[in-house]
Amino acid sequence: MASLRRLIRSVYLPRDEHERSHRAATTDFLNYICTLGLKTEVYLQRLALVPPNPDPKMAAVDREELTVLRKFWFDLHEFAQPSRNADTLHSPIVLISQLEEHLSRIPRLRECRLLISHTTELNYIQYPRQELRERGGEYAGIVPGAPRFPRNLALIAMPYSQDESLFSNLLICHEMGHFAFEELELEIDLSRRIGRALRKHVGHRSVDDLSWCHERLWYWAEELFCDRFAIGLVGPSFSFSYIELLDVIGMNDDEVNEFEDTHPSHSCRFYEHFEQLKRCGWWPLLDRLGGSYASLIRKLRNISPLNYKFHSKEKSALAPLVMKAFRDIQPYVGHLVTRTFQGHEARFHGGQHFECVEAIQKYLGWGVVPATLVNNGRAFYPDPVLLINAAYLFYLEGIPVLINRIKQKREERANYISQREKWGKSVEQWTLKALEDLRLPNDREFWAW
Amino acid sequence: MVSKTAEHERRGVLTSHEIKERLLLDINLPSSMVITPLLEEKTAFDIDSVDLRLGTHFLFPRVPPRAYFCPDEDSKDSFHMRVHVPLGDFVVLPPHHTVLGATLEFIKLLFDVAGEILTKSSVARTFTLIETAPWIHPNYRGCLTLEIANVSNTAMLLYPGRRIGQMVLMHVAVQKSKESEVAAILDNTYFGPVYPEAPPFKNPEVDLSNIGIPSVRVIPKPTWRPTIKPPKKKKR
Repeated sequence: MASLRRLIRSVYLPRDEHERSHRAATTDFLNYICTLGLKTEVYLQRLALVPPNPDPKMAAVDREELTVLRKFWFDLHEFAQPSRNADTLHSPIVLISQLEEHLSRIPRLRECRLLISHTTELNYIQYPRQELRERGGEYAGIVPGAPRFPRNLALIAMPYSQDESLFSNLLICHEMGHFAFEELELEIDLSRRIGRALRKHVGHRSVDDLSWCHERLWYWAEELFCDRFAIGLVGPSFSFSYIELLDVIGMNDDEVNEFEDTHPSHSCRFYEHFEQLKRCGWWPLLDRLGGSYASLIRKLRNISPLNYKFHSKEKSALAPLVMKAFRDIQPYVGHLVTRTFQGHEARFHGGQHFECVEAIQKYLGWGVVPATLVNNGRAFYPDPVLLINAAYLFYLEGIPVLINRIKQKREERANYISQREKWGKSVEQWTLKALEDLRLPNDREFWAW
Repeated sequence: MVSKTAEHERRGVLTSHEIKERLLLDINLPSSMVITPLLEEKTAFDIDSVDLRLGTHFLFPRVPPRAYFCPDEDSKDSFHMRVHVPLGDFVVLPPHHTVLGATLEFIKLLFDVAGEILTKSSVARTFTLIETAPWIHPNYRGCLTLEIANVSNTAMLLYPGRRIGQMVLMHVAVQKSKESEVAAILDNTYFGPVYPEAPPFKNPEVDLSNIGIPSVRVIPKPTWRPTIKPPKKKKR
């Protein structure tokens, strides 16, 4: 019991050398851990006063309960310090608040919140919560007064190295898709479709084979759902950050067409990106300003599904059949996304939206935070999603305009890569600052809201 | 045309009317000006100044890893500790301590206007000063870094978002023939910061060699950096 107490205290007591600020979701989660720890300490103190049960079977039950407690702290250990580390200084809080707000506009996801933690992986992760909730419920059944595991909390980890970045953290939107998928229990609906497709293309097989096929189809469909969901939240900037982080631009044809056990191929994913962008009206913008990244999306979309490849060492005979079944499932994913958003996707409407994007880029080109935009002698605020996309497009194509306007020494000008990195970072900071300003109360009109 | 204000009136301190006029000019015009966010717009202006608020990021001095501080190329990140205080929270500034903060507002000045940021008199009367380097050059853009000093004997609570300073702008008499040249030069020193910035220094030997000092005593630094050796040539 003493060792358990020590373990619990090592997790819930803050280990910080100085005070940190956190978003409300993180504070609530840390408070949950803290209350759980305190209640457990009281429970352990009381338990220590009770003499051990003379019946070995009953004593084993008591012991098992302590194991349940210990295991749950193993789970919490994964989140406690990493979420403390993702404090307001080390996570893009404005972006996260913006995304949280958009999430709460989606029917059935209202009051959902994002708990961001750090991970050592250079990747973004969403932790499924079903098991945690169950274990938390079991825990609350053992320790009197222990709070329940917080509901409506998306547990998402971001790489610690990207704490100052805006654009790469747009990949959080994909993880939010996993959260929505789990929260809305979309797997139930999807499973029925998968079952039908498997009956049609795979036929009668062993339970093990069918479950293997089912798992792959589920993983792939969920990934496509998450990509489309992310585009529904932030538009094409999600596709750009995906291309950039995974270096899709540098991949050869074999690499982009290869399916993995848990992920569909990049070409398949960008087929869905293209369709979702089209659905939300973003293509006119990409055609005008999207540059090489837009061309890449278009190129990948045009790859025939017949070129998609999936090789499995585990069940090589089943691989082509699963691919056939997947073709039946794929069109349904877009429908799931539309049904989830119910009209709350971020859309591009052309016209005034074009003017707004151009104005944002003009401000960035002069090194100015594009929060208050002047048009014909009147000041407006930009829509946050337009702002992010316009800034990303500027980051991809417009930085030379900015560099050329700044007085530089010859040696600075010669080092183009460092200049681009420096000013790219500035563009991100100005955009984050603009997002911050947009969240302040104001009486300005939104441009093309 | 750079502004509706008549040429002969463009001297002295800018009035609130002139500032507002320039805030509504197209960003492509060199005489345009930006202050964002401009909260409580109706009360933010005085006849000859505009109020600025405290931002949410701070740099606190910290004990450097070595027993001395030498302003040089490596010193930028060693002397300060970054702190973020969200709106609604406060930061405590102990008596006789100084912290670097920044204005909440991002400013873009015009090519023919310089400015000065002054402590708001109500703040100054609590023995808190915000600037020892208050001058803002023409064409400057960014949040203004403030050196906030608590010279009182009591710890002071600073709330981001509250008014802390006022900016006064003055015309700079740029020669008519050189207007476009001056307007085109954007200086990259402290260009566009949105947080308080630590100063970038050159190494003392570089600075002093510029004035002809050939030999400068420096303390050798312990370094963790691996020495990068050139690749060996293959033997034939």
